[in-house]
Amino acid sequence: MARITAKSAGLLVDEFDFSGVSNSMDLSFAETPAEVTAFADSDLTFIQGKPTFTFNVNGLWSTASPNYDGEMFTDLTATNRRVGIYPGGLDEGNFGYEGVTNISSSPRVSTIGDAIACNVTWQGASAPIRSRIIEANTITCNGSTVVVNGTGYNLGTFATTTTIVGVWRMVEMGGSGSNTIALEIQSENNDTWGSPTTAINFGTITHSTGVSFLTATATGQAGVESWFRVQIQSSGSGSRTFKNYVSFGYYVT
Amino acid sequence: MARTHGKDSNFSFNSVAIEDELSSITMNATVAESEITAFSDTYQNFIAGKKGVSFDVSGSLDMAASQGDATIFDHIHTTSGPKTLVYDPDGAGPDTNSPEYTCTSSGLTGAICSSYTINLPVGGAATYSATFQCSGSTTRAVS
Repeated sequence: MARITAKSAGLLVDEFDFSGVSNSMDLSFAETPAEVTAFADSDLTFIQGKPTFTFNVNGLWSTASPNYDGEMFTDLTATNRRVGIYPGGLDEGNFGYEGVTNISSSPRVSTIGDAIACNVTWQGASAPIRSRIIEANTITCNGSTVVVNGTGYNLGTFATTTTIVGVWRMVEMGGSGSNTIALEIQSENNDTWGSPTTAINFGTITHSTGVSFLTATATGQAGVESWFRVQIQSSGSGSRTFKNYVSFGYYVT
Repeated sequence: MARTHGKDSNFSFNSVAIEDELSSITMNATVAESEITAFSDTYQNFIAGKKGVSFDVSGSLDMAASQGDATIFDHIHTTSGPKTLVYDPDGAGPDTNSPEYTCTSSGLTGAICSSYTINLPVGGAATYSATFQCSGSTTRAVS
């Protein structure tokens, strides 16, 4: 029985980490049961409706490092921004939620006795995933091919009626030049990784500075492979160090 | 006259006991009353409709696998139909003077989570609240 403080909760919007400018978040998941009570029923009877979700984020008005205000203003007319919220923080192994969202309101609030607030309500635009951070480590490129395998996690098997989802956020941490990074999420039926299968392939990107953000999906495997891990390969002449945050989850197709 | 502390309540949803996360449970039992007052009546008169039961719960967020968060979200997310809900107010039932309320999953009967909210304040604990609408019969067992 874990009980956690919310003091280190993490907030990601696409490739941006806004944990440093947010101070309160509410995640609301709902479905409205429809009443289907018939005369012959002894009690009120209901059936499930369609689920929906909203993320309400209260934050601080920041215009640089990070430019939260600017990004949120831009996002007023953007669509399908991926918001990730991790109650225990952005550490590997932590559970959280990722959802494709649109802003439904974003007030800036100035009061004489308080800091300026920038609050955002994100309306879910499609199915959210209950995600787990399965990689939160760095890879340092050295001019030759470097292969890094992440820790394996037993996340269960996924039927073909589900879509498995990977979210990859890569942050350049230093070095020089340019590198090619390939990332995939592999699966295996145990933690020995004798012959892993590619479960989700993100492809290859060339990166130098800044942050990259990719999502990739695949149909559930209908197999017995319940272990998942990340494999990252770097190549190219650069000497960059990259921090990789990779989340994994699923939704019912 | 018995007086019972609420400190030992038990609550489970879809066979997952979550009383180790919860700190508040409210069972709402309602009956829609239809007014049937006639001109000749001295007082307003009502007639009972069908009864309904719902639960409001709140407690500490536990994100670990197979705990409350995973169980409740999976139910909403997969719309997998009503689940069995059990509420034992004093944690000692079911027994005489120690009832246990159960909404058992079967067909249209069972509990449906209609809302689930996670609260993450920077200065406090991660908490959640949820509302379960019982569909069909909720039983009160005393043995």
